[in-house]
Amino acid sequence: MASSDDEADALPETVSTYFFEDHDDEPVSFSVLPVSWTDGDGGEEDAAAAEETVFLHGKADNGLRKIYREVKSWRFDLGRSRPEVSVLSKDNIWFKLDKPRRSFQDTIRTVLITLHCLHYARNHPDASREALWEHLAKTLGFYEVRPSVKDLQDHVALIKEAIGRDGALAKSKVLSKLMEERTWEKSKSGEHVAKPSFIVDDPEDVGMEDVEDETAEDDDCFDSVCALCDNGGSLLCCDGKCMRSFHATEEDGEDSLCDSLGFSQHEVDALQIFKCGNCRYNLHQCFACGKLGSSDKSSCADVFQCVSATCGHFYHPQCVAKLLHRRDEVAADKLKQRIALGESFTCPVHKCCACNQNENKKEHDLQFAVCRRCPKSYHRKCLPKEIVFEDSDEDATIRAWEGLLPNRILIYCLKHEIDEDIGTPVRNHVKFPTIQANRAAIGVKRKRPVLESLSTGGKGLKKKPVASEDSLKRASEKQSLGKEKSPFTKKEGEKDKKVKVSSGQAIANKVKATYASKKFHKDTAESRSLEASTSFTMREHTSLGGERLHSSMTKASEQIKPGKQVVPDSEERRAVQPASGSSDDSLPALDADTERRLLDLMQEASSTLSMGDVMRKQKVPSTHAQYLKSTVDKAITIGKVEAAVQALRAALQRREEGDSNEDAKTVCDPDVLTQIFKWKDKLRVYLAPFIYGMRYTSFGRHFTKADKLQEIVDKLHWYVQDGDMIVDFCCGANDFSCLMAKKLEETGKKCSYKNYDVFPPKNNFNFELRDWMTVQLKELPPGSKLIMGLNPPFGVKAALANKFIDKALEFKPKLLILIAPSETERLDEKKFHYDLVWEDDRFLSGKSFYLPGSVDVKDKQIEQWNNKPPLLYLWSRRDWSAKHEIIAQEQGHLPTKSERLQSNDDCNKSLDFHHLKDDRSLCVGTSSLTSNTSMPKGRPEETKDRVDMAEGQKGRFSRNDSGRESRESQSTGTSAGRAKGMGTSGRKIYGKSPAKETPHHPSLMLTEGKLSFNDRSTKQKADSSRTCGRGIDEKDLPRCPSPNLTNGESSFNDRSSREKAGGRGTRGREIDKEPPAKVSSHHPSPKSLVNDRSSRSLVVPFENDVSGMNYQNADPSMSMSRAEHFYAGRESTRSDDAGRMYGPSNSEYYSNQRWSSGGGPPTNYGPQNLEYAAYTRDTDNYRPSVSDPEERFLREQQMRSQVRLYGQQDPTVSQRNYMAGNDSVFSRSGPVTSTYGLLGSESSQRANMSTMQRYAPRLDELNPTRLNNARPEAPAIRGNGYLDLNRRPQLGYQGDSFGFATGPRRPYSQNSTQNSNGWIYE
Amino acid sequence: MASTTETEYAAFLEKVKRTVYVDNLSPQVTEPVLRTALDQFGMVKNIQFITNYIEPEHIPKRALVEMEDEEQAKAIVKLIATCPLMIVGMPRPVRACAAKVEMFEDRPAKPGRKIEVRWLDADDPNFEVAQKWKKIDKRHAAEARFLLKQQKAEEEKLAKQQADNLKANFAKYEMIDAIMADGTAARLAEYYGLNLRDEA
Repeated sequence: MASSDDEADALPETVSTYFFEDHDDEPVSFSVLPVSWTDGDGGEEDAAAAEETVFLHGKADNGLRKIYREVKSWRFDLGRSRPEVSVLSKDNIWFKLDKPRRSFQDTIRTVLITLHCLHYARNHPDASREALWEHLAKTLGFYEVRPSVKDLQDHVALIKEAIGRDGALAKSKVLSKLMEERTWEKSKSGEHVAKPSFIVDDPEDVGMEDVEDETAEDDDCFDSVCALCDNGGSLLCCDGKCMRSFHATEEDGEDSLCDSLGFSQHEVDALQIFKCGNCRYNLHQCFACGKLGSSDKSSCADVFQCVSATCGHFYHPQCVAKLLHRRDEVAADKLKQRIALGESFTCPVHKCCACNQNENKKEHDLQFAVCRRCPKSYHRKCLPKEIVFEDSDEDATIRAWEGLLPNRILIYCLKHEIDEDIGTPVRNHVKFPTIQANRAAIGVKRKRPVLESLSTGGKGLKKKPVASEDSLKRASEKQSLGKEKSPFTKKEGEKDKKVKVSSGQAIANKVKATYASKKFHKDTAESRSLEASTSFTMREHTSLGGERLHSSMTKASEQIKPGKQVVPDSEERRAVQPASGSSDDSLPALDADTERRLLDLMQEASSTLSMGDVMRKQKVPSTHAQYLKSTVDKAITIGKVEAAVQALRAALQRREEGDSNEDAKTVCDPDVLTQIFKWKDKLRVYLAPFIYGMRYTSFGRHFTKADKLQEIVDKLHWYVQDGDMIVDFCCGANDFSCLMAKKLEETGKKCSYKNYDVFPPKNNFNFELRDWMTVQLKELPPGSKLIMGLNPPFGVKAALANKFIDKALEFKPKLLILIAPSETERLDEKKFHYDLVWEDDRFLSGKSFYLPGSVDVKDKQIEQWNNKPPLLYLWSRRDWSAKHEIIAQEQGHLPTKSERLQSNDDCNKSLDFHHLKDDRSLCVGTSSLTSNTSMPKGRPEETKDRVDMAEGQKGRFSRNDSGRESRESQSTGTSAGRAKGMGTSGRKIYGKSPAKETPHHPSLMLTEGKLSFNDRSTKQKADSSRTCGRGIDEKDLPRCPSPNLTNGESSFNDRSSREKAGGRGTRGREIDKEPPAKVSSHHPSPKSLVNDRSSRSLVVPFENDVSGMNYQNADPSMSMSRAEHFYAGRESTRSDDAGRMYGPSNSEYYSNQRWSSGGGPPTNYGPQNLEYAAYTRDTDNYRPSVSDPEERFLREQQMRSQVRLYGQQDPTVSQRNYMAGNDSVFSRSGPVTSTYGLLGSESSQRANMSTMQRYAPRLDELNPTRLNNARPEAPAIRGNGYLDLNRRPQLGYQGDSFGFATGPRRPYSQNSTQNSNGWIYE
Repeated sequence: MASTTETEYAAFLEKVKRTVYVDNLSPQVTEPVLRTALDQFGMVKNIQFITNYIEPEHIPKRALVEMEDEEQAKAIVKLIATCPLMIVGMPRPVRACAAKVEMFEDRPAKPGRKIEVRWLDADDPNFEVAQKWKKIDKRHAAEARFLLKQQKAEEEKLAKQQADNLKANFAKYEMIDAIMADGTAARLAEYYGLNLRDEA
């Protein structure tokens, strides 16, 4: 032997276009041969090889000589530049294999991949797994399906052996890791591995992951197991009403020995719509008796479907009636008739057969265990002990599995005998219609019906039939591969096989006979079989997906050229012959031969290309990922939608007819309802281009118009410093940088620019064709020199925008200018906190964008963004905020804006912009304050703060003043309105207070309130400034407590003056809450207070804290520490800030109003009432139920306070809310707008009122929340007249705060219909 | 004289370099459409559709798009190769490659090359050759036509598939939308105490 080996080694002949065949002339992989590990033992293993006879075909000597040898073993060599494989012939000659014949590539796919994998691992021991697969995909690019772990599966032994023998391999990390997992997976695959994955494999779709993660897991209302074998895995969902899923291919179902539908992967990929045999012919089985019956409601149906959304079972009326009324025959009879007449019913599956109660998926014990074979369900708690779970220790037959069905247990009830071999009852339960003609129509290659008849014909299908099916399948695969073979013999072969296996059916013939009549079936599978019969080449051709073909046409036509040149002369002549006589204009007809040749070429070309390749190559950055397509197509089947919609209707009907919620839920589970909403979202995203207009442009980009950009530039350039770098991370047309550069040059600043996009822009100015996500940190200068941003792609729910912004934040730029949808996560909610400098939600409304590349640029905008204009905002890094805010102030960006908008005749806008303006100026004032006050606490500083405040206040005051004047008396903004409304009453009541001389005073007062408030909130963000906020509180303290103690009424007075003088409103609040307590016994200790109230809601403790602080004057240090503690806590949950802040402020302002109205002397009450009457009139429409004027008034106040708050609160704490609020209000409330129009021209108060009206409906909506929020203090305790007043607001903002607490975590979009959250956004 | 033709030709070659050959355009594509479509990636200087004299039917259009410089042309070719660009509707991704001299109908004669046209007698030894080339040419045209036909059939099939698909999905959407619109879903959600949003 040894000598012969030597001989062989000496002259290894190279064989190309090789392939191997077994004795049946079927292609077979060389891997079936034993491996010869070393030269030496090649001979020893000969013996083992005996069972297979394998022949090598191929060409040697550059194709001159044909090789045909029987071979006995093979070996491989990983040491060369590429893995080399040799086979040893029976006569001991080694043949080195060069290139396989193309058609043979698939046969040796797995072993080739394995070898390349080994080769790569050996040469790159440290390579990562990604690198490995990338390499394999590249080197073995001719495979349509990317190499994957799956391919190694069959060669685990080989790999192990190789690792054992080759030290270099053992070192490879990736390989050892692979092996670990492999083995792990193997061991697991024997069990039921659940969870469907409807997602086709596109490993490259990394970019979209984030977006789709959430959507990926939510299709779980429906059965996720194969109807045949009850196992999970990769399933194909029937598009019909049965809503079942099946293992489509044998590979998918091999874990559970599932017969599967017998498709090949190709077929599955090519399927557009799959309907199971039952749904196709409207013949469904009765789940009770198992017999097929017509389910076609339009003719006379025998079986009827259960109305439950996810059920999908059909029943004969008599069967289900009997089951539903087991004892009462009369009732059963009636029900039967009703069902037969088409009345909906829920089947017995939805009631526990032990206790006759409904299912509750949310409660563990009340979850259902449903039998997969008959309509029997148990609650988990009612499940008989005999039904044993898979993980139990008992040595009994397993009948129950968890985790296969969503929130249900899969069982086989005791009626069914479990077949030990397959672990389930005999799988003869599914019957597809077995009409001969139909069966033929289902497709020649589908062996399913054949097998079905076998199995129903008797006897569980054991290994045998499966095996035969296997071979049949392989045969047919080979069939389509072996194209070099004569088509005729091949076909014969197939026919033979089929006849053999299908136990003598004349199917093959029948099939032929019916081809002609099959055209009406749209299913690709059919068309395939149709073509299969017509022409051999055609069949080849169509065995590939239509899409792929299309995409490959490109290649085909390219390849056709060389093809033509090789055409031998003789053939050409022949072809041209008939044409030569005719006129020159007409083209010669092609003879059949040429046509076939062309088709061959097309076929060949298309076979080199697959959909997967194309997808990989052509990645579009978009939210319309392939993923979505596969979900929409495959997971959301029309049957499911139909059933769900029907069920929903039925459920509602039942509910409205007076059935209980429970009953309705059996028909349509709440999950189904949520699911429907999700579906709608998905479908809408998917269909967006079609729903929103057929004029669909490429890439779905939108650019900001140049004039808008110019405006932005005009504003932004003030913030730019010499030497900064301006980065546009998604530059589009690259206009922004150009404009910016121009502007900055004009102003004499030298800056650098960097522009990124994935598409080349029109203008190459400092452009780099890069995905922003790939830009590395070190590529750009440090953050303090960076100004970044502009218009990122938005994506679904701003997903892409968030990604872009997050990426930008990695660079820590000092300024971020962004155009982003309102759903985008705010930067002050991010981990690395940014401060808002300014924000504009109107700037980009209307036609601010254009779609590049579309013809009529002007009218083309993405509708979505038209409805809800994205925001333009400028964010500043924390340490730069002060500076930028000063610039903003200096440049008057904020007032300018309001003025600009004021000129707008839309009162709506002007109103809002007054708010805005207020906020802005406040904001400015505060910022300067902040810088001043960042010092340690202590009385002296406090005073100083106070002074600062006074200053800021003055500044603001004047600003306000001028603003108001300029605005005149027309529809003034809230600030003015507020000032008047509030101010008048305040003045009237407290006429004696020293500070009230000037008419502006009230506004001043308010300003102060606001200011201090702002101050505080700013502080809360920054540790240093915290002190200041406290300082204010403390200032209040000395004054407050004493009056408080004396008597309620005067304390109000006092307080009011205090507030005017700049005191904190918190005070008022505390009094509101606790008047009785105060009057009687000073007050409870702060701590007890806290305890007392902390039980109420998350937000309330803060209020307590504040009020507690005020009480605590006597003990400043303590209150301080407490407050600090509190703030510290709050630092951590920044997102809650806004909500919490709201609470106190709310109360504060409420209290203001309260004393102004109710608390004042009776004389004042009158006029105010008038005022309120006016309010009432206006608001009546909104709240017809309110009858008590006082209450109404109260609410007005409340509303008003909200309104104010809204304005005041915003600048520092919750501008976000504010802006968002505007947005939603504007976009939503048409009628309100009209009101505005009317009111706008009236007095300022009116303007104010209209604001309230806007709130009014919302207020109503809040009411339920209030009621639900039980307060610990009994209302009765408060015996005085203000009681009501007191309580309500508290509850009110409890509602608010409730909203707040949850608010920030939710995307804004939800808010449009959620009332409890309303405030945040208003 | 020689120098003018040469400079002219050199200029032409430059033009070729910055020109993109765009293929597989929908028949509905007009010059402004194509111009705006490509204008976003650079400055389009000139667009010239190539007429197909053999196949005047509804077949994909072809065009030569002259950009401002070679860089832009290259960028466009690269872009279209990596991302499917649809101009006016699916399912027809446009193809693009660098233009070649032969693609220009109005190309100036290459300097130093002369083309002579003359009649051949039937007994001229070149007559056979010319005849052969003529036939080959026709044959190619026939083959191309056949291929186009196949391609069209495929495309139609695909378009139909896509349309069906779209229709099916739209039907789903409509169905769901119907129950949203008539308030069924909302009312039921209310009964269930679910808080559902409908962002529409």
